[in-house]
Formats: sequence, structure tokens, C-alpha cells
Amino acid sequence: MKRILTLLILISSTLHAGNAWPGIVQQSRPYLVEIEYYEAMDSPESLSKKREVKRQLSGILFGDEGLIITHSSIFPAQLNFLNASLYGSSELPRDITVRLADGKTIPATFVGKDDDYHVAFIRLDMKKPPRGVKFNTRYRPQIGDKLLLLHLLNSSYQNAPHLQELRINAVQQQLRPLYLADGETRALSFGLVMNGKGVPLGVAYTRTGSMGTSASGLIRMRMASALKELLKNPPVYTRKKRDNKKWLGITMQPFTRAMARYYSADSINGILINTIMEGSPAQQAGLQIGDVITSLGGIRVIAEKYEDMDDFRDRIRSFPRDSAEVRFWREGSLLKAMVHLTATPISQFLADSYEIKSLGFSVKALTKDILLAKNMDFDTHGVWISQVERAGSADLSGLRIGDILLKINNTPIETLDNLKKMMETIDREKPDYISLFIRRGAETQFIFIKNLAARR
Amino acid sequence: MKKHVTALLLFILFPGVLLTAQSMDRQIQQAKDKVFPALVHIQPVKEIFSGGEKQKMQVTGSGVIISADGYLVTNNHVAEKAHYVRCTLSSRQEVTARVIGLDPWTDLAVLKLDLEEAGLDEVPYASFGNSRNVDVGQVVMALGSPLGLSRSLSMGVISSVDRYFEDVGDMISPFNLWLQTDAAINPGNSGGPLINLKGEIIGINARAVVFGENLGFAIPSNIVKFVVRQILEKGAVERSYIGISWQEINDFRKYLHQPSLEGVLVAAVDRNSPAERAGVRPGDLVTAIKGRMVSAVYREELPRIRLMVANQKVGAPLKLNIVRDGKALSVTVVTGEQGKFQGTEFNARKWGLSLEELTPRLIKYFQLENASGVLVSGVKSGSPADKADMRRGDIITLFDGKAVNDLETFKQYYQKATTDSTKSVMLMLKVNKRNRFALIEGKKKK
Repeated sequence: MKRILTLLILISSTLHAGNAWPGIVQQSRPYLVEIEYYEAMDSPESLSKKREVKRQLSGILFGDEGLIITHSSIFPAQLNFLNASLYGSSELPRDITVRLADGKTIPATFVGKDDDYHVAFIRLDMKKPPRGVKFNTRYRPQIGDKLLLLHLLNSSYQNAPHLQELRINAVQQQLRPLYLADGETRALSFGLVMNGKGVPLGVAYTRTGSMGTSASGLIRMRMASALKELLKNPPVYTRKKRDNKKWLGITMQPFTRAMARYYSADSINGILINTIMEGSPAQQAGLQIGDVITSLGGIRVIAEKYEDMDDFRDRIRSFPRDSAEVRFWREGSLLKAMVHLTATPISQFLADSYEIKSLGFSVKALTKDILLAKNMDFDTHGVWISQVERAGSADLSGLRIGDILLKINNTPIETLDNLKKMMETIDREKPDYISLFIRRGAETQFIFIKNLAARR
Repeated sequence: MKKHVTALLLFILFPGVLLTAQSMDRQIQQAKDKVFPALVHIQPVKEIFSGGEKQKMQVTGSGVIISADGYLVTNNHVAEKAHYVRCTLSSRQEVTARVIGLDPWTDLAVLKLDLEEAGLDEVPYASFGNSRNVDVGQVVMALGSPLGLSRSLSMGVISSVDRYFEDVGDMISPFNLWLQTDAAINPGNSGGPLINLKGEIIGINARAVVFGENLGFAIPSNIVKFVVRQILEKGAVERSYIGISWQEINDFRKYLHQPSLEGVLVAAVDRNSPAERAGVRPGDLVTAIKGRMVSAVYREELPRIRLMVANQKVGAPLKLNIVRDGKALSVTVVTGEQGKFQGTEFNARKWGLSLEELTPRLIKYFQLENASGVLVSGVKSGSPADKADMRRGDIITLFDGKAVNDLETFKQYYQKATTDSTKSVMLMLKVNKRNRFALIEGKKKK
């Protein structure tokens, strides 16, 4: 009896006692929420059938406005044109519900995401949301720091809160430092990182890509000190044409020591421009192929390996101002130029699309990622076939996903508006066959599609 | 009673079956005896570039002798890049052969046996039949060395006389339809004859379907005769080029509601081609070439039209009658050269790099603006080129800042640069629409 009493005392006075964990769990559990949502699985082979898959994630409620931070895989579409894939869904997560610690289920809406930090934000749809966590943003992490990680186990463990101790085992130093800790946490989708006293410091996840592959045995941590701006002003996804990142519009490679020797420019460090894209900020600033960028916005650029360029790319993407001074080396002289940094072109996920049900295909406006994938000139305008209904009219006539649509019924199609207008005429006149002139690889060809909406 | 009837029927039918079987057997034997002595087992030693290095490889194919002085026909894919060709006649005598001419566009090759060296005056040969008279259901035999099993014979029927294949990579047949047969054809049968019961060559076996059963394909003998004659006369088949991709009009007819429309549709016009210069556009309907009506309702009719254009003299004016937007007009295209199928190859040995000349086919495939540059066809692992991250498929456009117009230019620069092994060379590569610099590092001075 006495023992039990002692135990109770120990539990209640956690701060002084040896075991502080129960108190920490009790204090932090309310910030951890379960998120349930439906991901639309677009099929490139079906216009009508929309498959939805139920998914679960965990998140952290923060601030006073009902905002929840979670993993960016809640909306897997790549917004940036450079690493976008051709297929996948551009639909936002649907029917998001959040289960709070007290068991209440509250609907929520998607706010936005940042693919560089792998975080996304959703907001509770309720008048007086419960108070969220306040992160300490002054913490400066170091390798070896002892931390606590709290997350929710999955439903087979009744979503029990799981607390574990870990250390920062590795630091990936870059513009957005990533802290890595050893730990097997398969159930972890998103967790809260705290110090030993339960002070919230940041977030943790195991997934690496937005598609949810996880690196085995490594927990990734982002500290609130780095997420400060995002937490204050979460990115807002508007579906309107902009990735909120900047770009220069070049492809580049490290200017290696061997190259410096070749050019007798041993003192020059930087990145070598090998391609300049049409209409890009770099082109407008007069940069040329073969130039070596030595500094950006007053900060020196050093790149000896390919990985070193990520830092430069990151710097450009999150450059705080609209223009930057670029210093570069060209044929023996050091020059400088002001570059007006514009928003990165969007990926196909953000491109407008248009469905033509009667013919069984849909098209999208050409985005830069498609132009790169199709080996086309970077300033090409037009539309491409993004979906072809399996065994539909267009499919049977030989139309394929990826074909570039050039003409319909001999009328050039350069924009979705052109196409919409053309389709209005077709809907009115209901011809029984429609002619598409398309480009596939190096060849063009005609495809004649039977119009199922034709008059008999 | 019923039993008796059955027995009676059998009795009546049986001798009949026996009779046809006997005569069929005799026909098969006679046909075989005519061609079998002319059958050749071919084992070329090829020199190919693989992984940035020159390598030797032996393959097995078949062939058939077509003249007493030792000319023989086989497939281009058997004889191409052959450095040395060893043939075994059906008498099992070994004779070497040299390549007289290759035609990748029809996958045919003509070789000549070295009879003198073998101590032979003449050899037995087979003669061609007329492939136009071949019909579906006709009994045929395939002779050759399936999977290296020499002097084999298989039998079947003609399954189709107008099989059409789209070009896929290097497997092309723009100018011919194929004879399809269910006579067993396997790798090694390539280049062997498909014969009729008269013992005439009606086709040269060239393709089979992997994992398919009894789907073999032969190049019709009339195409073979034409190609052989051209190779014997000129060393190669001369073909003209105008740069038009044709499309059949079956669906176009439906689209226009003109079921009796005749002509052939222009699907694509190559960049910088004679047709583009003459103003031909995709969507034009060509109704006559050089005054002769042309029409392709189905795609099986396309090879004939391609052949008709190809057989024109290079540099000659070719009048096309065109219907464009309902109006008739005519344009004159000055034909150009077809260009090489396979570019010259070069081994930049010191850099561990094999290179290939850019041919019109490659220029089109890579969608290049012009013909300047050379293609990297292989990179040796661990070589200076590999260390510079060069990859197969890169196109070298600049060499120390100087334009690489063609393979010859590259060779000159390369030979000059490599006389000093300590010198580094900066190359500019084109990879799709992007460029990349590659530094081939010279050896460090001691």
C-alpha cells in the first residue's frame, strides 16, 4: 500500500522524480492529431472513374488558429516543374477529418505545402479551435543532442501515444538543415520533437519522398527554428499557376578544380552554366553558356561535386528578394549582372486541363516539365494528351497519352481556349469523325476519331 | 450394320489419302533436292563496338547460293559488320566468303564465296520463283540452321502474303510486305530460303515472333531479286529520298465522307527535306506521283508508294499531284539521297569512347536541328570518358571550343590532341535539349 502511494507521488511530481515521461505525454498528447483523408487516384486511362483511397497521417496542432502541420505526402503532386513526374493525381486531398486527442472528429481543409521541407498545412474547420503547441524557435541543434519524440501509433495499437528518446546522430548541413536520428519507427508518419523537459522544438518524419518511401532506420527532423517563417505564414495553395519558389532557368554542373586548371583559372570556384532555358531570368540577365557563377546575392558559390549544387539551387529557390546580383567568370574576366528572379514555372500538376468525354481523352496545357520530357524546345506552346480513356473512341483510333495535339479538323490548337472553342463547334455540328493532327516523337500523323456524340 | 458402313468408308478413303501423301512426299523430296545443295550455313565474325571498345563476336545464320560462280543471299543482320565470313556448304565443305553489298532497308545482303581458295570451279545454286504468284495456304518449306542446327528443313503453309510491319528501331521494312508462314523458323534460319514445292526460292526468311508459335516471316523473292540485281550492278541499292511519311486514307475517307476517295495522305514532312523545300505539307492528299495515280486505302499499300519514290533517280524532279483543302495543285520535289543507314564508327581508344557518325535517321530520332556533332555509342567503364561522366547517347558538339561538324573533324581533333597525353580536352555534349561540359583529363606531368 505504501509502495503504491509512493508510486503515485512519483508520477504526479514528474519534474522532480526520475520519470518525467508521463507528464510530458500528458502535456503534449493534445497537440498530436490523427488525420484521415481521401487521395484521388487519377488514372491516365480513365476519364470518368475516379478512384479514391483512404489514407491516414498524423499531424501536430500548433498556434491558436487551428492550424495543423503534417507531411507533404498528403498532397503528393509535385508543384515544381523540374522534378515532376508525368503521372499522378493533381487533386487535393478530400474529406479531411481530424481526430483530436479528446476523440472529437473535426473536418479540415488543405492550406498548402512546401516540398523542400516536406511539410504541409491543414486547418480545422471550427470556430474556436483548441490551442496548439508553441514551438521554441531559438533552439540550435547540435550533433549528439538528446531529444524526445512523441508520435501516435497506428490504429492497431489504438493510436496510443508513443514516446521515445533519441539523439541527433547526423546533421545534413544545407540551406535547410536536416537532423537525422537512428530509430525504427515504422508507424511514424509525423511526430513532435521535444527536448528532455518536453519543450517542443520541431517535427519528425520518416518518409523521404512525397510518395511516402521511407529510409529504413532513420528519423528525419526539422526544427522550428528553420520552419519559423512557414509556421508564421503557411504557404497557401491556390491552384493558380505559381510555385512559390524562384528559378534562374539554367542547368549547371560544378566547375571542378580540373576545369579551373584547364582554363588556367585556378582561383575561380563556382558553378558552370551549361544550358540556358528560353525566356528564363538567366537569359534575360545576359548570362551565357560557359559562364561560371561565383557568387549569388553576395554569398560565394563553391561547387566541386554535383551534390554541392543542391545548396545553390536551394538558395535560388528561396531567395528573399526579387533580384539578385550574380557575379560570374567569363573567358578570363570577372563580371556581374542583376538577375530578376521570377517564379518557377509550374509542373503539369498545376496546368489547366480539359476533358473531352465524347471522344475519350483529356488534354493539358504544355508545361516545362513535359517539354523537357518530350525533348521539345523550351518555348513551345501548345497542349498535350494527358488522359486517354481505355478502349474509348480515341484509344481505338490510336491516340496515346503524351501525344502533342497540333490541330483539330485542320484548325491549329495552341491553347486550351482554342480547343474549347473548337469543341463547342464540334458539339454543335456533331460530325461523325474528327481529325486530330498530332506529334509523337519525331513524327507527326493524323488520327481520325469516331465521335460517339454524332447524329445518326 | 453401322460398323460395316464405317469400314467401307475408310476403305474407300484410305487409298486416296495414301495417293496424295505419296505424291506430296515426292514433291517435297524433289523440291528439297533442288535447293538443298545450294543451302549455306554462315558463321560471320563481327566487329562491333560495345562498352566503348571494339569487340569480336561470332553469329550463325543461313544463306542460299544463287549463281554457279558463288554469289549467295542472306540477311543484312547476319552479314553486317562482318569482318570475316566462314560458310559451310551442304556438302560440308568450308568456304570463306566476302561481303559484296548490304541493304539494311530490306535486311538483305549479297556475299561471294571464294571458290578459288576452296578449289571449286562452280557450286550448285537455286533459282528464284515469282513471289507475286504465292498464295495463302500454299505449301512451303524453310531451309537453314535454326539455333545453329545446320541443314534443317521445316514445312508449313503460307499464312499471309501481305503482312505489314511498322518500323521499330533498327527493325525496319519500309519497302516491302512480308510472307508469313507457319513453317518453323528460329534464330539461325535468318537468311535461309523459303521455297515452294517446285523448288524455287519465294522468300528469304528473316524474322520470327519471340514466344510466338509458328509465326515466321520472309522477304518476298521479287524484292530480293531487285535488291540483288542492284547490289551486283552498283554495289548498293540507290534510293532517293523526299522526306515524306505517308499515311493510309481509310479513316480519312470516313472523316471526309468520301468513300471512293483515292490518294495517300502526307502525315509528316521531315525538317530540311526536299518535300519541305518544295512546300509539301502534312494533310496534303497526294493523288499522283510523276503522273501515275497513287492510292493507299490500307497501310499494306504504303510500301509500294515508298518504293515508287525510292526508285526515282536522285536529283531528279518529281511531280506530285496534290489535293489541299479541296483544291488540286501540283508541286515538284527534287529528290535527295536516302543517306546512310548506319554511320561510320570510330574508336577513340585512349579515351575509352566509341563514336558514330550522325546519319539522317539519327538526326531525326534525336530531333536535332542540324547534322553537326558525333554520337557517343559506348563508354568504357573506368576510362577518361567515363570519369568525365560521358554516356551512351550523348552528342559531342564542341571540342576545345571548336565545332565538331562530323566524325572526320572529330578524328582530326582527337588525333592531334592525343599526341600530347598530358593535355586535357574540354568537350561540350548535347543530352536531349540540354548541354553538358565534359573534361577529358590529360595525364599528370611527372
